[in-house]
Amino acid sequence: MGDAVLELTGVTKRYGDFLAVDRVTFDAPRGRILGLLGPNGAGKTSTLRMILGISAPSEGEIAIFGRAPGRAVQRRIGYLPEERGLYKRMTALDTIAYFAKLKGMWGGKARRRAGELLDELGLGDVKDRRIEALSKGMAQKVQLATAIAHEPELVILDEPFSGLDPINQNELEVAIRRLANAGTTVLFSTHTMSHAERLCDRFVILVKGRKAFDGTLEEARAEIPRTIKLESANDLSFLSAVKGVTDVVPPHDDIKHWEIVLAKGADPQAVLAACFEHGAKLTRFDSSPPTLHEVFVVLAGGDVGDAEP
Amino acid sequence: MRQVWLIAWHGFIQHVMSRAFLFGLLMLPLYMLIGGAAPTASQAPLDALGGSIRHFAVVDKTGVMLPAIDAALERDVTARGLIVLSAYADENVDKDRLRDEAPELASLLLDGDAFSESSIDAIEARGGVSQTFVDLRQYLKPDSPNFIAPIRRFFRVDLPEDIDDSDDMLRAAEPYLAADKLIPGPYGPVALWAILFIPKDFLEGKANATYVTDDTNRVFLREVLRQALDSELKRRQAQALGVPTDATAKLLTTAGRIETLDPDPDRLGALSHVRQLNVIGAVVVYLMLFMAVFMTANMVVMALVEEKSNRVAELLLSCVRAETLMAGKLFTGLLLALLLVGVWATSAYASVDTLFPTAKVVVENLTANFKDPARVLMLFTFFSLAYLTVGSFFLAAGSAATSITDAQTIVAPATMISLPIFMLPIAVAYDPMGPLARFASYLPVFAPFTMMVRSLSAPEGIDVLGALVVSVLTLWWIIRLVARVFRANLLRPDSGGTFFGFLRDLFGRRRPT
Repeated sequence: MGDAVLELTGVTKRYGDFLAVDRVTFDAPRGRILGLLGPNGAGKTSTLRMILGISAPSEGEIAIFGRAPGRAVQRRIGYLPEERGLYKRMTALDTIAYFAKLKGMWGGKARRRAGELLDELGLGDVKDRRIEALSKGMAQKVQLATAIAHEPELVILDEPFSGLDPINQNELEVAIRRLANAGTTVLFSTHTMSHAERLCDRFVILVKGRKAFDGTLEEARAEIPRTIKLESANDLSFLSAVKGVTDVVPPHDDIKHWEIVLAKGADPQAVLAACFEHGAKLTRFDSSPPTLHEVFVVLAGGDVGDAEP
Repeated sequence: MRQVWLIAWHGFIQHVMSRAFLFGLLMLPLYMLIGGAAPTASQAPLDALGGSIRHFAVVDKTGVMLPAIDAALERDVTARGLIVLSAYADENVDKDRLRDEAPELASLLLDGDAFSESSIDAIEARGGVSQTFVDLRQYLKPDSPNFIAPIRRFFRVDLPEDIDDSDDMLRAAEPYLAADKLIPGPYGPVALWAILFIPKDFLEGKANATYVTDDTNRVFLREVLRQALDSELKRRQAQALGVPTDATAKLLTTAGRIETLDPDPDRLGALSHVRQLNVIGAVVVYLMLFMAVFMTANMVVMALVEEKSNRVAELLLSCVRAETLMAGKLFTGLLLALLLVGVWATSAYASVDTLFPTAKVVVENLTANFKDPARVLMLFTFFSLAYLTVGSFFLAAGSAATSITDAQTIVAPATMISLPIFMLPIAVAYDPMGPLARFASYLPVFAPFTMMVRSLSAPEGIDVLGALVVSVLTLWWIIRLVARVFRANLLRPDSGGTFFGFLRDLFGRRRPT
């Protein structure tokens, strides 16, 4: 906790009678990637705006670099908003340099840094092109560059992957990893679990404004019962008698496999051994750990909204 | 402060590079060009209709009046030349030397009455205006400007043949008098201003002469002709009565005159020339500044609404505080307004000689006022305060809108309600030192607008100080009020949308979320 760049304690945000964020507490360690997950309307953007000082919490406290959000820490933060917007008639280079200057960089350095970033992001050839003449993917990279041009210590990315094609999504993942490797703390919100699973060191899951989970992927997996998927022509009902098995779900509807639900800490090998003992022929034995999406579904109580695997 | 400047300058460049702003910037000079060039392009008919040179014809059935009329026209040229030469002498001659060495000339041009008949007689006796100037030249100060004698304003021309031959001369004269048909003049085709019919028995006093014209309001020519006929009639009757010629001449040049005097030309009610110029100048300058204030305030609001709708506002708010963003936007508008005013004023000043010679005197009067740096500073200060007051209010309205339509819905009624604030200073222009002007100088919101007009005169120091204090306090209060709304509404997707919703946000006790 001592190395935390960001700390939220009991943060609540109300818009009139609507409770957008409800007593959320978490922290972001320095140099790590923290994912803020949740379906739309979970309170992710409201939380990020409070962290940025754009809006004030109704209750609770936020500390960034040990200080309250505001002018003192604004220059140490980079922000990529969910809904992208840039000045259409400005060139890519001028746009990045302008926002870098607003964050405290001086003119010459800002322009040099903007040029370097555009080269790094593969946009060196279009640096003098107006934003309106860029493709969506290019514009999104420019927007990312505006968030990191002033070399912030904390970068906040709100749904950074939305609207990007797979190639650009991969490039963005590389850029985010590069930031973290350079010691920058990254906090990003998403409802696409695969990106979070690949990138994040830790997750905070928000559901209807409340924190549903805070921890690593392993800790998240441990939160939910493990399920083994088996395919066999035999009747596997006997598995319900195996120690550590809490439920046996036979194939039904479109699901052609058996689902064996294990108690927390139970060994999947016991199920495999029981199958051998009963002479059951298995055509599939899948004991891979639950995906983040599966964890998310459970933690969100089925209310996953538009969350994607 | 650096961030405020960055935002202001960025907005300024963005607007200046936009076609819409350039269009607005250049429209006024373009209108001036059109307004000035159009009359120039059709100079001949306009000269004929509204210029100072008149061409007229005389139908003299007595057969004896034309020499008297021509002599009167010559005398008119001399009389006007005398007035101009007297004013020229007053400014440019070494008066002491002239009085010492040429007392008669000094008496005529410096100490005499340039309007009197005896002075006209005297200058005619000296050989006319040109000869008198030749005599005066040796007494001029070094580097005196050239003397430009006034041009002849009345020309007698021959009656067009189709009128002369017509049975109904009035009807035949109509197209000429309406400038639909031109007649040959001394330097080319001209319109006929008037026809003077002198019946045969006019000399016996049995019939009146008739002056036929399409414009009965401007009577200078008619008056010259009336005096010519009147004098000639009297001279002939005096001759018939056996009055000596010299006595007749003396009687005819004797006239009682009334002098006009305004005891306090600067007070309300006096319609002195200078006073009219001050009023016209103040109103013109005020309207120009007023247009600049509203045009730029609207532009900045629209830009803000666009930034809000395309989410640039959120990005900006992650970089700077809402108050900084608002201040930057306000100064963007101020820079734009100053640019507009600069371009418009320069265009007007540069083109007045060529395009609007009649307005030159207004511009000269304004220029004389602006020679005092304190007045320029005063005008700049109150213009800026007026802009910031309006601009901050508009920005708050813009922050409460989510679309251009919303913004217009809010701004339009606000503009209409505040019209008295902007119209009162026009009333103030007629009496910038009067009680209304002084009262309005201390009224919150009204004060900077009022002082924009009063800056062109010489308001009392206490009024300037009072208006400054009132304006600054009002601005401080408005900015505090609107900054709260601005900060709260900028990221609200459902904010405002109506004028009354905006007012509730602005003045309501509830804190906008």
